[in-house]
Amino acid sequence: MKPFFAATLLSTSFLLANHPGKAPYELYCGACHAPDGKGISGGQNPPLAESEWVRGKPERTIEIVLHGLQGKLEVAGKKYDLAMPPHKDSLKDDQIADIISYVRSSWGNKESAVTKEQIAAMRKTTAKRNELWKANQLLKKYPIEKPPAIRDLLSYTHHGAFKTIADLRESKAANAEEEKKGLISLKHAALKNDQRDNYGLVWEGWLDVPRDGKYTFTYDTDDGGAVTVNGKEIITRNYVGPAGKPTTKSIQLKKGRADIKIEYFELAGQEFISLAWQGPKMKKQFLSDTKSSGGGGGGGGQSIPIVAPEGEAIIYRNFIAGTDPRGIGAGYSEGVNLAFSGDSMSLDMIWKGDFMDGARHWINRGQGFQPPAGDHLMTVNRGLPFAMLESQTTPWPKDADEKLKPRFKGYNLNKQQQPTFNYHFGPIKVQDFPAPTAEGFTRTIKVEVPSPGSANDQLYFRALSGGRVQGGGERSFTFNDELLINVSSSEHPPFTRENELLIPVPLTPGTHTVTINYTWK
Amino acid sequence: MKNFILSAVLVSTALADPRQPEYYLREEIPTPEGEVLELGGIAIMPGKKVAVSSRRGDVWICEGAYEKDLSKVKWTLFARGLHEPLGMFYKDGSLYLTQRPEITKLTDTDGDGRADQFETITHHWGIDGDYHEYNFGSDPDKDGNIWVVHCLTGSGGASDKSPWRGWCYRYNLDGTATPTSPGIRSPGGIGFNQAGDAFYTDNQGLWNGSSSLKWLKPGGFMGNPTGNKYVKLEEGMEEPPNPTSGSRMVTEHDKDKRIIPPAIILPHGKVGQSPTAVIYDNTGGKFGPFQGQVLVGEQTHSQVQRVYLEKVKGLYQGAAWKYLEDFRSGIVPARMGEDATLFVGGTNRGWGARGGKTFTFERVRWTGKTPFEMHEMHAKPDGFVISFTEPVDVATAKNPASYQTGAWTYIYQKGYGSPEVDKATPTIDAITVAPDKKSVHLKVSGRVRGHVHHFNLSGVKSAKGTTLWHPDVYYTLNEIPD
Repeated sequence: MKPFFAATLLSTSFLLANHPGKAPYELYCGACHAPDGKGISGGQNPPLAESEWVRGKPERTIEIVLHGLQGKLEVAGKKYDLAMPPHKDSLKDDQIADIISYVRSSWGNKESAVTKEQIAAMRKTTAKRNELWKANQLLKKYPIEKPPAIRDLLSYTHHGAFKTIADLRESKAANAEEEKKGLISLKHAALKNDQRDNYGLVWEGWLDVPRDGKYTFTYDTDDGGAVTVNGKEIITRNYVGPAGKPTTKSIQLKKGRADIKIEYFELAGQEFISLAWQGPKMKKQFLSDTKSSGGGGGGGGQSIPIVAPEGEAIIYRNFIAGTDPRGIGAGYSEGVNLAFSGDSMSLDMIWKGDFMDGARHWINRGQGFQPPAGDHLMTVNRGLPFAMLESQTTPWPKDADEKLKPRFKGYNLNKQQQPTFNYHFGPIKVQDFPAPTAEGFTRTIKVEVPSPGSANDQLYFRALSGGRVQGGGERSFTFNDELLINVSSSEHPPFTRENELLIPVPLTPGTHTVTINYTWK
Repeated sequence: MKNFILSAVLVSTALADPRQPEYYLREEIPTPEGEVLELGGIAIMPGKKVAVSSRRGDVWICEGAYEKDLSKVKWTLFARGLHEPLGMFYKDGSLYLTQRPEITKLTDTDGDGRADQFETITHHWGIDGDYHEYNFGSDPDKDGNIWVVHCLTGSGGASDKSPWRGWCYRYNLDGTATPTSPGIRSPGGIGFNQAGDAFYTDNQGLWNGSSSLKWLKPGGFMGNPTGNKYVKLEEGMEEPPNPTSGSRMVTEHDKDKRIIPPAIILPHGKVGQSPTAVIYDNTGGKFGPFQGQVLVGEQTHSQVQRVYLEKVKGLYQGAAWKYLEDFRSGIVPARMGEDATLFVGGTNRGWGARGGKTFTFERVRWTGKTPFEMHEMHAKPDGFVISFTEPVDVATAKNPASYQTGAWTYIYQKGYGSPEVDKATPTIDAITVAPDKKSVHLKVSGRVRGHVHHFNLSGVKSAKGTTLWHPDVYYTLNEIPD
């Protein structure tokens, strides 16, 4: 038997090395998925080796190769946000069939080959598709067949007024059932609606441990229960009361089978169960159909905090949610932050605490707008900050007047790296310097008017909009009950109107200065 | 585990070019500790300083990049907080960067080593928040124009909110904007040839059968009509061509001369997969024997390719060869520095690349030893003339069996890329070796206009008996000379 086995092995590896899909795979796919199928640079791009996406029927893979795939998705527990182009117009049926067959039979994948006829057929049935697949759409069409979380799971139903684990263990099971889904659940068929109190459940099955290491179990119950792994009782909740304070315990496990037994009892009132495990290179996986939100971190979200060095400010220019695409974020070591729109020239937002998280834009391709990281976020204005109004009751314009087109001119940084924004509204030149304070900002706006405007025109600066403005004095106001605004200097007094604070600016030649203090209450 | 290590070693050995170190010395330049320097731009500054910009939006200045001992390089932070700049040059004391939202002039006015003045030169174009709306900017031309190619919104869209996606514009340092060429899809770099004409690289995708190097002929149409819709925004602008999907590029060019076929097709997979930087060898022979030729960066394969351009019947065309490889990440910017030092930078974020590192900054210098290579390739009325860097061995050069040929083109279509189609096998009818033995004239029948003509010269040896370092050449035959 032995020589035969060796011969089989030889011929298999011989076949693989000469697989007609190997060369085209390495040429067209290898740059991202890597010649070894593990994804380039330690998995920066999704692996195909032992990927659940490759497993099972080939249709999912064929559609990805034909039509491409983009956006957020998860492979082998790791998140990606990339795009793979479609290949229907650049590769022929036989090339695609060879490549997919090679992928399905390499690096531990043991799936059947596909034929060029299968590719041709899929091409035909999906001929109308002219956009890249998104993961959720594709998975709806071709769900990934996941093995049950707990293998060979059996449940035992007990009846009785159990107050302790010992009470439950003294009773006898009234019923045993197979749980094909592999998840523990209180929605149990053997329990009728009038039996939601005074019962117990015991489950037995086994976990497929992916690798040697320390595994952490998190169990939450209403009322009590216990978890036993490989015969060792690691969690005991000898308890009658509400859920919300899960118990977390760890145990060393070896790769392969680990037996698990879960006990649970419910005396009266609310009922709840949640059990999860996580381990080396394995993110948190729930073993119950209901999930506790308390305790345990989980989630693969990375974070790259952008922090101003001590005594300095830092600029983050990228897509920031709450301002425009040309927005500029500035974070100050005083613990205050702002976002300025390079489109409308408005200081759109101020906030306290953390500045920005760069992970969205600095990992993968960087799609989307990232919201500010901190707290006490105030949107003080959106849209144009300067406009000519016929009268004080003229509604604030949405679009700029031809004579008063906003133009961003850049910014200067002082020694503390704090920006002064420079912009024009038509012939009017503005320098806008928000200085950080311990509680907010003192903003100095210098408006340079080159020549007198026409007699009918009056220039206004809109300091606040989109929220409740209340007067607290001639020059002091509150905004949404959270922010104190003090217009400490301006040639004309500020005035409020519905959800707005306006400051008239003279159009006489020369420089007119407006100073505004923003302070959180 | 043992098997895995073994195969990994095998793979990296297989990728390495064993002959390159004889001719070119490739060295990695250490980057600032703890910083992620995914390079998007390289600028040469006075005093032997080299500035680099990163995709994260930082600008760092490197001193010592020309020194023998690269472990002693000194880095100084010049600026942070720029928005994915892709294109940077130095002029009169300032660095100019083409960022996603604008072109910006960065100046250190108080001499403390950090930029304190960020002046917006222009923000003529729109951006709508899509990461794919990249802008690649050139150095200024002789008139002070920065040529910028605006990538489409996403792979093939053009957002109503972001005008002039899919266009090349020239932006003067004084801020004026001149529409130049529509038809752009997804550029990877822009630059000039020795004659001062602008070229950019465009990637395989919608309306691009293969990646290629395209000539930005002012008024010419580069091939992808997605950005055509913006002409409505400006009065008096001419409607760009509306090509027929499923045709061939030269066929469409014959119908509408504004449609400019790619100067050099870089056959997808065979030469590269994501062409990037465009520079030319301006070293007067100090970087090897290829003075005046255009060098093209290649992101996926982590290489630099070499291109010979000639103009035939008013169109640029020519030959592409593989050139430098084994860079540690996907090459995006390239810049010829002083002392004939080639600087390249790389990143593989979002787009996979050979090389294995997430980012890299490297330099390449010629060892002084001339490789036996094809030097130039010219189209002739009856075939091609290929010149060499060294005299050839007449016997092998005259033997038709030393040459293998093939030809194909790509479908000019709306879909993503194209297979190689209309395959042909040109025949070499006669071979004449020049008296100086430094070129061969191939009389070739079965040439097809618009096709890539592939010649493999594995059998041709130099007079000294060596084979070609790179035996494959790909000639894009847009026009056959009379």
